[in-house]
Amino acid sequence: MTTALARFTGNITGRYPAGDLLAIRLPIALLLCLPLLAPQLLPSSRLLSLAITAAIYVIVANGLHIIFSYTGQLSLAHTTLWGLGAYTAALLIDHYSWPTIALIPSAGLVAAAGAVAIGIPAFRTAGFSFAIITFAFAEIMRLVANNWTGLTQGSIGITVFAAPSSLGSISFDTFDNLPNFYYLTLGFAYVSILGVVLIRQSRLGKTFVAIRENQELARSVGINVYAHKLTAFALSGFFAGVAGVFFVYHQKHIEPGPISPFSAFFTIQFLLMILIGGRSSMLGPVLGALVVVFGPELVNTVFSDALTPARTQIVFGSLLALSVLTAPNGIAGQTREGFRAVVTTLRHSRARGRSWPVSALLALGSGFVPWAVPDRTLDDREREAS
Amino acid sequence: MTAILSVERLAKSFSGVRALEGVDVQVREGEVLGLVGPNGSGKTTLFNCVTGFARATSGRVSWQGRDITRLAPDQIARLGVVRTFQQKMVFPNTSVRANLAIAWGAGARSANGASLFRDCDDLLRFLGLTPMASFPAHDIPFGFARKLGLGLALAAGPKLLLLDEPAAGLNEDESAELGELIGKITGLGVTVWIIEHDMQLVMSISDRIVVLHAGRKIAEGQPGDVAANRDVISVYLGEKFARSS
Repeated sequence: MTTALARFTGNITGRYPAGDLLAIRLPIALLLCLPLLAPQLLPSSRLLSLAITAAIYVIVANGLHIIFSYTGQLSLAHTTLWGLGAYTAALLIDHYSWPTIALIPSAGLVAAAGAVAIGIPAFRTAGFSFAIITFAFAEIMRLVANNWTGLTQGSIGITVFAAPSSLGSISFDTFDNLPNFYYLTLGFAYVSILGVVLIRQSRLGKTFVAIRENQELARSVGINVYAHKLTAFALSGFFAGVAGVFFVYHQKHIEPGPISPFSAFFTIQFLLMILIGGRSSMLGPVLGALVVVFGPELVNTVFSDALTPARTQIVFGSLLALSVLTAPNGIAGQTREGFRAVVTTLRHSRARGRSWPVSALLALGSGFVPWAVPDRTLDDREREAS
Repeated sequence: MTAILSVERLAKSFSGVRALEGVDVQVREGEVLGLVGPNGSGKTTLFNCVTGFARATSGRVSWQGRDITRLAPDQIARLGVVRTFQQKMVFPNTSVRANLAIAWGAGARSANGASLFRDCDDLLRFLGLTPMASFPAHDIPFGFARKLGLGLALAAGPKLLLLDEPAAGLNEDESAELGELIGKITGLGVTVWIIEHDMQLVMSISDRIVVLHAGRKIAEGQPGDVAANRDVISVYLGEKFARSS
């Protein structure tokens, strides 16, 4: 605590990792607690249902974050792995009535195994070839789900009539105890966030990033790039598989149709979530998932529900395009840049002898106009160090 | 002195173009071996073949008696044969210290426990990079980025270090400093094999020099003998060495 305070008061340099500052960690921690109040705050069970969707999306997007943002591999099979987890759960419930506690690791592991099976040939290539190969595997999985009618009932899909609805004595039936189901899903969303944070800070995660930054250099110092990519893909698949269980609990149905996890629509949507939220932040996927789920609702509210669904999508889509254009680092990245700009401008302005109120005004302004911040040079740093 | 790395009749063709033709080189333990030759003579290709970044068409590379010709680059690095690159090669958005930590955790050091330095901070001091340890690697000046590239290879715990034109783009002072640094590295017991165009540097630090021309070895020996070799003068040193001395 004292060191954190010392950093806050004495050592705010523009280059100091913003995440280490108490000033930014505390608000983030408080914001992360906000979803706990959703059942009280959201006026309808329809909105709570959307919140559940958002929580599921957070788990899926966090998985994609590991392979796409950290390891730098554009996987187009990620949501299909989510579907694979959903099918695994649906089949295990239908045929063997497995309990939740067994379903979650099983679906996760099946999806992780799927990822490894795709990764073994796909990671022989890189870049666009990798993307195309994963897309091909996603298509194959969709075709199998569509045509292996004996197992999957083809395009009709599997409807789960008896999904587990309690954990011990706590019931989370989606009809009568929707808030409980929300908390269960939210709990796993939190676990997935924690998982991403732990992976990012571990040696494994740092190695993933090194591979993204310079694969040849990583090889030259002794990193087995192929094995690490497979590991990253398996981890990301595990997240997707776990999310598949909640998808089945929530929807009671899985099919390989045009708006299912097997569709290209979802593949794109999840990549978009990460771009909107921010590739460079651990919370990017969370922000992206929230925007994608609640954004259309917000648009509807603004227009007082006067728009048809298609028109809502047009407005929302334009807003997304605008956000990607104006905030290329995503919401999280842009917020961080803004925060740095405020801190840097404040220090520079004070150093030049301007008064506090003027400096504060300038700093706030620079937060919204980042290019107005003076560039920091190495000379600056040396002066600060001495 | 015994050879720790030997390259035997190594050949490499790129779709019909012969980049290397039957090259034999022995690297002896503890020495600094220079590798010189005009542009396109196959120097970097030779390094690529030795370190696994390119697959030799024929011939054999053995490291401490073990055939490593067909091993992958990371396997070779973990055996203690580590290279640097001509280009500025760092992990750009990662801090200088974290750059070294990645290599520290990945290389030969982790494979056999051998370490040249106590920890990353020790290595930072050795390189003189301590003041900028927390800056992102893309933000530091070129000369320091070069040192960081060298540091990454050192962090991996090499027994044999292959340096591909480490002085390219450096000014005279920086080159001289690099020469000293290489001297210190040899002092740690690391064998160095270096490609370098800066003749003054390579002549002053090398125990022996190998000269490549058009994919063939045309001379080998002490720096003085090589500089006096008539073939060498005619293909390469002639104008260049005359100018610099």
